[in-house]
Amino acid sequence: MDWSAHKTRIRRFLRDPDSNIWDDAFLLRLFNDEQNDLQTQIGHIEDVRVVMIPPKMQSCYFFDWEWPYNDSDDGEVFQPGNYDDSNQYVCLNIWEIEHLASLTPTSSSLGEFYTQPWEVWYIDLPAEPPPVPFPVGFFRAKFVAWDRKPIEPTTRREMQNRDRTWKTRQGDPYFYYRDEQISNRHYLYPLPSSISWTDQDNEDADPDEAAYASTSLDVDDNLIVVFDKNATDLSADTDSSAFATFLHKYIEYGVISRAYGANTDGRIRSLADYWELRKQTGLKAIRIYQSNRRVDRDYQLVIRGARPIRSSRHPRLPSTYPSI
Amino acid sequence: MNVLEQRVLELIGEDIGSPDVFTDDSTGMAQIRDSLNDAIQDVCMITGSHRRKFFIPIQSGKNFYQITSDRDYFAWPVSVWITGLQWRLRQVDLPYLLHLNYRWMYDTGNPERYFLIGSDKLAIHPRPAGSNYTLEVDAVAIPEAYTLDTDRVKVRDEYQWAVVNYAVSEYWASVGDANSAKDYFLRYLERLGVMDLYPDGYERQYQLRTQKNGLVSTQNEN
Repeated sequence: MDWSAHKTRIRRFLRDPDSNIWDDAFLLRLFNDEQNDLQTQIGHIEDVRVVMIPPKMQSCYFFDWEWPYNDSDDGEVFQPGNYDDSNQYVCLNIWEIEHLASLTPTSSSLGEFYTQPWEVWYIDLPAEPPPVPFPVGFFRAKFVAWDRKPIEPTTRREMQNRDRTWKTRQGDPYFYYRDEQISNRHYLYPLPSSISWTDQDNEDADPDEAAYASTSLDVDDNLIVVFDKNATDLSADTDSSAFATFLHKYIEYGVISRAYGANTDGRIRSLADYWELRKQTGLKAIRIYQSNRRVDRDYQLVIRGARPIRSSRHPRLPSTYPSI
Repeated sequence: MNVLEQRVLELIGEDIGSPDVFTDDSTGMAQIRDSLNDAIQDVCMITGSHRRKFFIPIQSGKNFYQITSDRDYFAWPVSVWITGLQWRLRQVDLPYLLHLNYRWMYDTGNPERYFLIGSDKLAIHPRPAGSNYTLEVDAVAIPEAYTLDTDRVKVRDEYQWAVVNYAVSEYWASVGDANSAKDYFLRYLERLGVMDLYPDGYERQYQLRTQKNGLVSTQNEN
C-alpha cells in the first residue's frame, strides 16, 4: 500500500477529503513519525542483504560546499582527501598539510590515494581504507560475514592499538568498524586482498535475487549483512512503508489519533482517544504476532548432567560399522 | 455485496435493497470493504486461523531465501518440511547457529534447520549441495484484501460477527460518533475473545456480593 492509498484511508476517517483542515504534508509527517514510533514499540524491521565489494558510489567531492551538487539523492557520494581547517585546503597526503604550515614535510603516506573506493583494488596499496556503505536504512548489524565467514565488530581505536599498519593491511577481513553514525559507512580490517569483479552492479543487492535471478550475485567474496533496518520516511505518493502490509493500518490509526488531537479546527478529543485506543490495541496484537513467530521452535527442558539431545541427522557411526 | 457487507449495512441503517450511500459497487463499498479487510487481517493475525503452504525450491549453495507471497501474506511458520528428504526442519536462530558452528555458512549438506529473517525471508542450514528439494512451509497467512463480492472471504464463521462489529465501529468513527465506535470495537474484541487487548480492560474488577434476596453477580467498572 503506497502513501496515496494511505492518504485516502486516513482522510476518510478524518472526514477531510479536500484537505480543508489537515494538509497532506502534515499527515505525511505524522505518518513518518508514527512509523518510527511503531518501530520503537515493536522493534526494528529485520532484513538481509549482500553488500558488493568493491563498493561503488555515485560521485565524489572535495569541499563540503560541493555536496549539494552531487547525486546524493541517488546513492552514496564519497569525499576523499583530508581537509586542512587552518589553510582551508583539501589535501591528500598529510605532508601537504605540513608544507602549508611552512614546515619541512616529513610524514609519508603508506600508500596511494584514490577518488572512488573501487579504485583501491587497482592500485598497489591504498593510503586509507575505503568506506563500505551498508544497505539503505541500516540501523545495526546482527550478523556480518565476508565470503561466508563471520566477521566481528570493533573500533578504529582498537585497530590503532593493535596494528600500526591498520590502514593498509590486506588479507581476509575478520573485523569491521564504523567511524561515525551519520552515514552507514563501515570499514573492513584487513582490507580484502582479492575481490570478484564479475558481480552485477546492484547496490543493496538482495539475496533473493541471487537465488532466483538469472544474473547471480554471489555471497562469495562479498559481504552478507543481517541487520535491523530503520523505517524509511515516505515522501512521494508511490512510496510504501517497509513494514509488512498487514501492519500498515496500525500506523494509520496513530496518524488519525494525532491529527484529531492536534490544536486545529478539527480537534475532537473523543475521536483522538478512540483512535489511540485502536492503536494501542493494535500494538498488543502485533506483540502476539511477534511471539507467534517462534511457535515452530522446540523447547526442551533437561536436567543438569543429562546427555545433550542429539538433533543432528548425520549418522553417529560410519555406515560401514558394524560390519555385516 | 457479500453477506458480511449486508450485515454491516443493516447495522448502520442502510437499505440493503437500494442503499443510498454505500452503493453496491467497488466505489460505493470501498469504505466497508476496507474495514472488513482490515478486520479479517486483524483476526487472522491474532488467532492464526488462516493457514496455507508456501513452497520454496532450494538451490545449490544458497542459504537465504525469499518467501514470496502472491495471494496471502506470510505471517509465521508452523512447520517446515523438506520434500524429497522427508523430514522437518527445526526452527533455530542466529545465536544457535553461531554456537553450533561459528562458520555455519561454510557447511554444505542436506538442510536440517532454518531461521527467520524479518517478515518474509528465511535462511537454511546447512546450505544444500544441489538444487534437488523443495521447502514446504506450512504457515499462518494473513489474507490478501478481497476486492469483489464474489471473492472468498477468509475468516472462520464464528468470527464473522466480530468482523462486522469492527467495520461498524469504523463506520461510526467516520461519522464522528466516538462512543458508538468504541462500543462496537469492544464488541469486536469480545466476539474475538481477546478483551485483554483492550487497555482499559485490566481496570475492570469483577466481584461477587451478597444481598438479602440472594447472591447476585455485579460488575464494578472503575
